[in-house]
Amino acid sequence: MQALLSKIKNLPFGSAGTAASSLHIISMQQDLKFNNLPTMPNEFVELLHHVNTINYDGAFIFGINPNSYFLDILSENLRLELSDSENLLILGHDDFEYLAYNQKDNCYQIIDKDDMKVLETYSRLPEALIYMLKIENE
Amino acid sequence: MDKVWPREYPEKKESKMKKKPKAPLPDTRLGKEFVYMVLMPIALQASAQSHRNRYRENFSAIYERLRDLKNSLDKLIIGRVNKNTGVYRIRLYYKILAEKLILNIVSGNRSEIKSNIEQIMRSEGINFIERAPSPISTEEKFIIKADFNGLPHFPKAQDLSPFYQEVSKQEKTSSSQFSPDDYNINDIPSWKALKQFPSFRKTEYKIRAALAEKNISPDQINRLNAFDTIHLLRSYYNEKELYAPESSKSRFIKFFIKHHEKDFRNYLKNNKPIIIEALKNRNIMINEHSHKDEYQLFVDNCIKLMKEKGTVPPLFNIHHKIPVKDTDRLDLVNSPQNLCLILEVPYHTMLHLFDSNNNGSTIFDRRLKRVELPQDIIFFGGFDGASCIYHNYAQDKTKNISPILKTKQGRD
Repeated sequence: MQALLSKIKNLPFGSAGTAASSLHIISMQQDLKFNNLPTMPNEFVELLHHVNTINYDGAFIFGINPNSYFLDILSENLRLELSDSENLLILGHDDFEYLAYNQKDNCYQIIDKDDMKVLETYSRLPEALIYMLKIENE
Repeated sequence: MDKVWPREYPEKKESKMKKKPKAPLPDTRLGKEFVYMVLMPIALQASAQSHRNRYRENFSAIYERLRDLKNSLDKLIIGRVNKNTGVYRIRLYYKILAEKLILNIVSGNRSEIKSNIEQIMRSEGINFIERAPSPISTEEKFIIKADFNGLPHFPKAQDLSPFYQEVSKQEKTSSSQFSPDDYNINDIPSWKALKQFPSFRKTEYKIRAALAEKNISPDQINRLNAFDTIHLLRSYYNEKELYAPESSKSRFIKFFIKHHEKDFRNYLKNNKPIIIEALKNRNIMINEHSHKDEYQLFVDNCIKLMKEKGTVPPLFNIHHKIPVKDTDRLDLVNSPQNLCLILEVPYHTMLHLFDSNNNGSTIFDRRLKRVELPQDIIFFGGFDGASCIYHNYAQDKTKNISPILKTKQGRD
């Protein structure tokens, strides 16, 4: 996670939002549960304590944004209305793919936006985020 | 001398006592574009079925904001325009649409919110056309993505053909039986699709060199699928420590900024409140009163990265005018003519309200409709014509062929 955070820190200004508060994180977890959505995995919660929302080179990672709804994880998941998403929490997207957390299998998946086919599976969040943000060499 | 002048009217004093004066929304002189920037992100999310009940304090903050917006619509959208003019009537219509949307958000009418958004888009001249999905294969889609993003990842092992997997397992020998010239690249079935993309067309020799290094027999290359070919190429770049071909995304951004830097800078300057609002929506604060001009630094940094690396600036995204799944021309799908830099929220999200998803059951049939943008639009920063940038592609074509014509004429 540290390696990922230092990569994110090196991204240009405006790419990463400031850390979310503990109160907001707890409220969001309760909200997700209340809306029958999977709760955020621990690694993602850890990330939120450092950066809340990432937007780099056309890729968007959600966070907690109750004031404006922009890139808000709950609002985005509700708006996407994915019928097969009982076990999926969408954490971000780019032009072609979603980054999702699969609660049932406790893993991170890269899913095609059109046909919802799983393209990649990762057991750890940093690898999945690096894939999504395409920052291997940053 | 003894002029009596009533200092205060009692009625006025009474009303002041009752109501706390509220700070009106500042007039940014951006008209409805600023209204959309505040209103649309809330509307887009309010159109989703939500059982959210915990952020009560935030709900009230949002409602408060919507109330302020509703009370400021006259000033923000209509402004000081003579009531007897056509401009007034048009602006009044925009105002009514925005007002309806606010009321539907507050009363939670989901289906009405979506229909209001459609009405707003139609009133702004956005056309909706019937979609014509084209049966695009998984391999073709993978090639389109690889071209757009520039080979950032290796294909998944399970997509590789058994033949290529077997070849990859074999130990590398120091000398190969074959040379790059032994291969006819057209024997690779996926080359027909790959060669339609300029970035892959340029890699023809590298693919042949990689085939020779892998010691793949020339009469076997017809067994390679698109995933194998891209894996082969990606491995070659890694082993030789070469830069992968530039992505279409990056090429487009460089193309855009090369031709339209001045217009884009003007947009960012004239729409400063919109960009600051969008950054604020992501909890990124720009201090407008600091000694350094933080906003100008942000703009300069974005443009520097666009020029040097072809990076999409924060808050923006690239939109495919004809969606990948509707394309019947692989050579055009990632070309600049089909791409458009766009503000992600609200505009890109609005355009994609019509995409198909798993259930497809919305008030619009998302499977059947998509929005149509003008062919020459290269930047979409708002519905207002002044917030968009157009590119004359026909002129580019003339420029490209003119040296050829000159040479021909010279010969003649």
